[in-house]
Amino acid sequence: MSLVVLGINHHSAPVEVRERLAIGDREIGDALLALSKIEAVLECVLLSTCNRTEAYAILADSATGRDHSEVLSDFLAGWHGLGRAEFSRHLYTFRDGAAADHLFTVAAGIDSMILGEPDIQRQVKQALVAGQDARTAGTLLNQLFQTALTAGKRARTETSIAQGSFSVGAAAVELATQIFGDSLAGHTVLVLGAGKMSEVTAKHLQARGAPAVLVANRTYEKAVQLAEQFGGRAERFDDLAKSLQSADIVVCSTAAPHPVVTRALIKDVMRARHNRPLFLIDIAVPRDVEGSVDELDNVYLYNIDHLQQLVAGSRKARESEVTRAREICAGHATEYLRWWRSLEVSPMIVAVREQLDSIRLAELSRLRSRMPGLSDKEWRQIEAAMQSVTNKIAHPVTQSIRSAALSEDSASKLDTIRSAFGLDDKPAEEAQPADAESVSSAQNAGLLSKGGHST
Amino acid sequence: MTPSPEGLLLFFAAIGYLGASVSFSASIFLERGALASDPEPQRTPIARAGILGVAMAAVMHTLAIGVHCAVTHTIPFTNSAQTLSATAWAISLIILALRVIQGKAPVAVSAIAMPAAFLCLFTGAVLDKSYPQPQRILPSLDSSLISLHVIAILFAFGLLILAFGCAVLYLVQHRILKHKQVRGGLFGRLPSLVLLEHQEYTLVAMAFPLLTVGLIAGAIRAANGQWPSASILDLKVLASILTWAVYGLYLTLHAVAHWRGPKANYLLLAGQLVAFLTYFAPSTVHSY
Repeated sequence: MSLVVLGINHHSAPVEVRERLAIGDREIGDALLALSKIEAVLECVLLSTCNRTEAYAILADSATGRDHSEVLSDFLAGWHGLGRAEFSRHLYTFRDGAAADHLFTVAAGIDSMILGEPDIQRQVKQALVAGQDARTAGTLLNQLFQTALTAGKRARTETSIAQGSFSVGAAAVELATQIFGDSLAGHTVLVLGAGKMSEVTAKHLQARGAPAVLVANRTYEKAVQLAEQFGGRAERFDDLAKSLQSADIVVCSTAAPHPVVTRALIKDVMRARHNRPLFLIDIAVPRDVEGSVDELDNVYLYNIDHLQQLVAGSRKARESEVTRAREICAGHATEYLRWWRSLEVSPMIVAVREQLDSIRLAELSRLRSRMPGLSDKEWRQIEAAMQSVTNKIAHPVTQSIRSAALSEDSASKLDTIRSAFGLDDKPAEEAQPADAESVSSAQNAGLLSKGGHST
Repeated sequence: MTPSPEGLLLFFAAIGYLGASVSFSASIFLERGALASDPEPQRTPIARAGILGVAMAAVMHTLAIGVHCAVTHTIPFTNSAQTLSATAWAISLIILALRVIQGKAPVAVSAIAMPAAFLCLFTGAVLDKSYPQPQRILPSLDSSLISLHVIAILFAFGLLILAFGCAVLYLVQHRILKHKQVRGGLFGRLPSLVLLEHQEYTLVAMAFPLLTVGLIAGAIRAANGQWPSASILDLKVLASILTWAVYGLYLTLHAVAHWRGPKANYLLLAGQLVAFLTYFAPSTVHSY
């Protein structure tokens, strides 16, 4: 059984590729169900944001003889109707400890375009909730994602990675001033789509002096709600051309699977607005604005990757903080692995305890037949004493099994313990939990705490 | 050989132009606040040194022109070399005027215009050596109409050189933004596109009437002086008319067809090229 992550992100692929592999909020449930139906997939969670699409899965070792990454990349290709060759060179794969460490650095915002950005924490949580809702996130991935959220929170609070970060909003302001001047007074901002990022970006622009904010959204009521926050005006999405005529800066972040701002539309709009410069900030993935729009005169189009170039410069100053944050993540990754391995040997621990209990019960039964004259009180004392002896034998054995599981030659050490307790007839593979049920049986046996950590 | 007082003053003026060129260019790279709408004075000492350089150059150049007039009893526009030199003087006066009107140094435009002024002065000084004596202006040309003709065109060309500077900066800024060259280099160090476009339009709108007045004054004087009708085919005259036509086209397209952006700026570059030709085009009716 392995933890595998396969993905594509802003480091490995441009937005043109990422947008083809993005999985929208509405389809994530179906995608999870489809992925979980693959034989080798025991658990799965999908994380899809503007910067990344990643599939986290617990894969059975018997994954039909195929490479682990193939299972997941075939799924991504099939889901999007693409050939694997079209994106395989942009993919990355991590396994086990490296996979856990990767998710923790993602949740901490270390792997984000904007160092320490807080939104990824929400997106990781959303991915977990989607997995829970679809019942594809079992004990192992639940614990992984919960730990990721803890690691992310710690990295942000115990280091300064999130302080003084140069956000997408700040980058948009910087670019807008290159076109319109220091003050954005007199320039209208149009927010297209009621996403959180566009809201934050528009707030930055407004703080720089942009007096009027228009909001257009497919759901008009959402547009009204957002417009109220800015003291702006909601526009009908169908009147997009009219809205674009009066706007100078457009922030796009709709969830539309295809571009909503086309070259033909902007060409007409530019004529109507007498060629006044138009600045389009497209932070949506898949993109909202056709790339060829940038070829038009007086139109300046920046997508999420272009903004990244501006943002990247601010990372250098906080490299030492990144190192500290990475250490926190690595610590949590080690803890997670420790927990996982303890899960793997939990059936063996259960077996040892059952063996000891059966011996205890057998000896008690024999004693009862030989010493019939003892009172109930005396029997309770004998039972308690034997239970105590059993526990005292079991405790160091349990510790030995757990430490053996973490050692490099775990197989031989575990075999020795197994033969010492006469468990040889139960091979190690069978003793390992193959699914969440066996894990929960271990939990029920009192070997694991509620949170999943070993006791 | 002892340098003449005029030569010495022009030498100091050249140092002023050169110093201002270096200061304004350095300010763009070293003083991020230099282009801010309300720069803090303590954050822009290099830009302030630049404007002092322009002021020094303007004073020295004015004195040099004064000395020239006093010593030779001629106006300093009797040949192409002197006209080039006087163009540098006009540029410095315009920059000082902009500094007063705007309340801050036009740093980025000056970083282009000041080297242009220095080149005008330097080229003028080199060319001037090919003219044996300061030439007294022909009596037929010695009139207030000719003074109006020369001075109007001189200042029009000064304004157009500044507009050219704006156009160059616009195209650089446009290229940076279109090619997403947003890390290092000149990103964040040039004026905004909207500001540059506004400035170049204003400069051309100011230069064009001066150019028109200058050309009309010249035409009237030519008619009064009963010049041969063939003088209309004079290359310098044709280049001047073409310059006027190009900038007229720019203003018309800007106002009527809403020409903005790179196309309009390339037209300004073309206009400056034609204007440059007027200096060096051979002429049978102009000595300057």
